[in-house]
Amino acid sequence: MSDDGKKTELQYARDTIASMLASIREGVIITDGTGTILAANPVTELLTGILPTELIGKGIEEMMTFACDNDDVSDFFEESLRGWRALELPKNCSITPKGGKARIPVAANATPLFNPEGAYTGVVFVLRDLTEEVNARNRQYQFLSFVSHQLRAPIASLRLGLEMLLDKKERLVPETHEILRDLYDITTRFSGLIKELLNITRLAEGRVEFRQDSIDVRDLGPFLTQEFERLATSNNITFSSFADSETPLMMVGDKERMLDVLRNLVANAIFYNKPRGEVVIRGRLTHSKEVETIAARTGAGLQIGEYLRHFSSTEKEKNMILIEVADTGLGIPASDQPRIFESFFRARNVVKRGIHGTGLGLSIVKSIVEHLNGRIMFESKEDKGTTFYIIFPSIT
Amino acid sequence: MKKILFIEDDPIILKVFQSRLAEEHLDIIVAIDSDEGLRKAKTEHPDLIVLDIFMGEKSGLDTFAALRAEEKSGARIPVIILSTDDREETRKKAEELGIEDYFVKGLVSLREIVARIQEILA
Repeated sequence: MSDDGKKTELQYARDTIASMLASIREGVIITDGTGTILAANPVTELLTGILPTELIGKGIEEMMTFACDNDDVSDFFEESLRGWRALELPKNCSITPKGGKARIPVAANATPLFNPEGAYTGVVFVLRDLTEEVNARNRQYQFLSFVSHQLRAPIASLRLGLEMLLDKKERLVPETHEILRDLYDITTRFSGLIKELLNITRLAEGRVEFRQDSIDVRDLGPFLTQEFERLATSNNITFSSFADSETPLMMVGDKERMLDVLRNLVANAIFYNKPRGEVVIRGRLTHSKEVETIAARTGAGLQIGEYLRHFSSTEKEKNMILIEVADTGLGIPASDQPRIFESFFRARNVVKRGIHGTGLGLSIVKSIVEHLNGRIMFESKEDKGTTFYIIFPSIT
Repeated sequence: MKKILFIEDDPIILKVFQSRLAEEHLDIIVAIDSDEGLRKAKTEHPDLIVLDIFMGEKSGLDTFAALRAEEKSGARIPVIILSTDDREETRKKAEELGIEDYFVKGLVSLREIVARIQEILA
């Protein structure tokens, strides 16, 4: 092939890449190893408010004004420009285009580039506008919230009315009383479902206030004992809550929300247990090494590794709080385990036994734990039981 | 006979309480909207008000604030909120205006409400 032929081929390859970049709906920015922008496609203008031609030669970090509600954005750039590995921008981030006021919710990825010799040469950043997705999700939550509110009033009337009728037991024939009792139980469950639906929509929309108090996790014990002792006893289950936690377990958090977390887990542990079973809440201080070990054992290694990465080495040496909620119950079938934190998901074995539930509890639990800067893991064996592990940064 | 003013637009809830509280020898006055509620709070001198704050267009909290604004200090009528609104911010606002208790409809039993009413009126 002649020199001219080669040029044409190279030109053709270049043009093809340029057309590909121009026609995809994601914003693509290529930088060199130090973060200087080498190329950008037209979509980047919609996200950054800057013409692609003007982006070239500038530092990527100064051109991208991300705002994230849960993590440090500069981490994303620093890490990506080290060229060690592919990275994702944390969830719930947005970008503000230059000269624009509205923030655009975005997802972003960074993938390192290497030359044929294997040396790191730069990074490809891909930005995706999530506005449509976020709007669709919000519409879904608004609808769910509206329906839940509309249902709450009639269900409340039904429940109070049924309770009044049930109180007149002596005037009812036994069959009538029994039917009313069943109806009352149904409305009670329904009220619980509405409460959880509203909780989950509020959490998802970020409308739940989280207090930032210093709390000792052990102080939650007496509340839980008071609430669950009777239920546990009537189900023939022994329940203990932070019985041998001697050291203070101080964290920054919201006592009410923490109670929501533990209430959900304890209720599950009792309902999905066996007669003469046991439910134990333990709390103690631990360190990141043990957390990693638990994570590896429970298959949450990657997720927890990513989580621990955000702590400085001094923070890692400091204590973390580990809360365990363990039961000796029905356990979760292995095939269902990956899905248990999904909304409305319920494990097959509990559905088969006719145990009522909404499938929302664990999804709420996970959301709250992560809002409080913690993580949740679990291990479970069918017919043996389940243990949930929750970790939080400690301020002890 | 002690008097309780129910500011509530749900006919079933009203019937339930009228029947149940009659057994406790309590007199029930009903107002089915905020304006009527405000008027009756002044003219009927109730010993307790049970207020729903999620009625129709007008916010029950505004009604409540108006009621408190007109009261002489030291002559505050005890108020219990019974509402479908379970938001923390609503509860906080109500607490700032001074309430005896806040119950969420659907999550509270008749027995609990009646017990609390008796306690307040004792």
